[in-house]
Amino acid sequence: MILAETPPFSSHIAGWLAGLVGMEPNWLFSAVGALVVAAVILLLVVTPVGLGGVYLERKLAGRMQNRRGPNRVGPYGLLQSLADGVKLLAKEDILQRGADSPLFRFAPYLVFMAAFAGFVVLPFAPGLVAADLDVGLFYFLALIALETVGIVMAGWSSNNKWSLLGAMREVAQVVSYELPLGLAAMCPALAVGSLSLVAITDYQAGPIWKWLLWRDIYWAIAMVPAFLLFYTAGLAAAKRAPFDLPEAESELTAGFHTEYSGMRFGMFFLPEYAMMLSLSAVTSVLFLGGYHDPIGLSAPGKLFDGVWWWGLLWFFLKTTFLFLTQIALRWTLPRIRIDQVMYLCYKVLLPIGMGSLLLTAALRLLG
Amino acid sequence: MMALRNWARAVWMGLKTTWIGLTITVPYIFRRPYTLQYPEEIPEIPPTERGLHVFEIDKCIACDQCAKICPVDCITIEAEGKGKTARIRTFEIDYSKCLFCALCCEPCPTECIHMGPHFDLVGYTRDEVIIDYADRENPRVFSGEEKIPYEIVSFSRK
Ligand code: SF4
Ligand code: SF4
Repeated sequence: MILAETPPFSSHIAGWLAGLVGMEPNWLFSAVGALVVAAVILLLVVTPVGLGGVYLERKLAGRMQNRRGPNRVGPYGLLQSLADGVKLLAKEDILQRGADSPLFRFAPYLVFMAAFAGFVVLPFAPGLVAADLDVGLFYFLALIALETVGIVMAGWSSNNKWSLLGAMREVAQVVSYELPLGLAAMCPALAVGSLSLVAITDYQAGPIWKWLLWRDIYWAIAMVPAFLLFYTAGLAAAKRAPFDLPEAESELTAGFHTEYSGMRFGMFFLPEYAMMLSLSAVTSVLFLGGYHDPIGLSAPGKLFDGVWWWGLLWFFLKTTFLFLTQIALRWTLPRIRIDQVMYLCYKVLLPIGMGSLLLTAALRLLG
Repeated sequence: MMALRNWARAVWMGLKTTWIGLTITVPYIFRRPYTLQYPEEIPEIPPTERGLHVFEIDKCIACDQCAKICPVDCITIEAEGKGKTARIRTFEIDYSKCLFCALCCEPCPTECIHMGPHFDLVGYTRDEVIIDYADRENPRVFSGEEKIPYEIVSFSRK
């Protein structure tokens, strides 16, 4: 995470490193600096996010089933995820006979990368964004598609029928949910006239009725369905119940990652939670005002205009709320069949998405 | 038109059932979990529980009735003499076999073997679950006028 006003953190590190060895800063030092920043992001965002997400999910799942959830490791079981991580690290990394070795080994990295690279464009708070890309939203959607490649790779190279079935389902699911997901994401982008997540957030500065979800009554007609659409398609993209068909543990053992063990399995496990969180974050940016609070204190010229911790607080509150609803849905709805997923995506979500987009375009045209 | 109506109804029902499902599951988050934290919290055992035996060694007359009736032959008694002067050397119950049927309590002429409330029977080897009730250090063995600290339900037919 880099404060946008200051020169990128990585160039500081590059300069410092160059001074240390007494050389002019060149591209090599820049590369090292960028790597250090990436490592810091990985350490400060990815690890707590992934581990916290896993803990939250298990705890809530427990409570929803009248259990207590993890409570043995550390106070309230808070260190459970950490203990699981250590366990995964200590486990044997198995490469089964008949697997396509390079693909099999590379697939988890691809999934991991794709899921966590999405955090780069998220505006956590005013000025607190790693890269404010002009095409931030597009980049984010592209990464979701990239993750699928990793999953198909894993399923295909495992030489296992469950894995292959999981990968096939993933493909069937992707071609169904990508369209509504894209259409739903288009609505706010069209309304704001930008694909930059920062621009979309700042467009919603002000009190709660400035949020894109219900900016005014006509917009709400287009945006509320788009919001539900994005949320639902996002569930499918994160492979969460009721759309967890590619892993479907009760039918396919573990779906595409059946054959993975140890940390390679962890590399499939953590991104799922990262994906949930980044999708929740993008949903809150697109429809719920991102880092702007509901009373309008962060609007330009107001008390908390540009105060990063205030923005961070609201960003995380909204994201966490959406994240919790995702968990609640998982423990409420049964898994649906693959043909039902396709029915839902093509026959329900797609028409609604088209209608929303059309309405948004019309409203934009009319002013 | 009909098809559109059905479609709209299906969408509405989907949203509605999801909502109903959530209103059922979410309140559970705020309820107390039922889980008993076992080693720290001991569940309340009803007095009729047929757990590990409770043995009153002074009353036993080494008549071997309990060993004879046991359907799985898991009681081994070794004693010097018989009757009231008998000295019990070993009174072993092999809990890897015992099926907690309480049949051994029925024929006992002196009513000295009971089913107790204890249920935690764990061991790393099979020998560890053979309990010798002639061992007076065993907290489940009572002698003389010692009061058994829990309610004992008689399974005796007499
Ligand atoms: S409870 Fe039944 S099985 Fe166990 S020792 Fe008594 S008679 Fe034998
Ligand atoms: S039946 Fe009763 S008295 Fe006879 S040996 Fe068994 S415990 Fe002792």
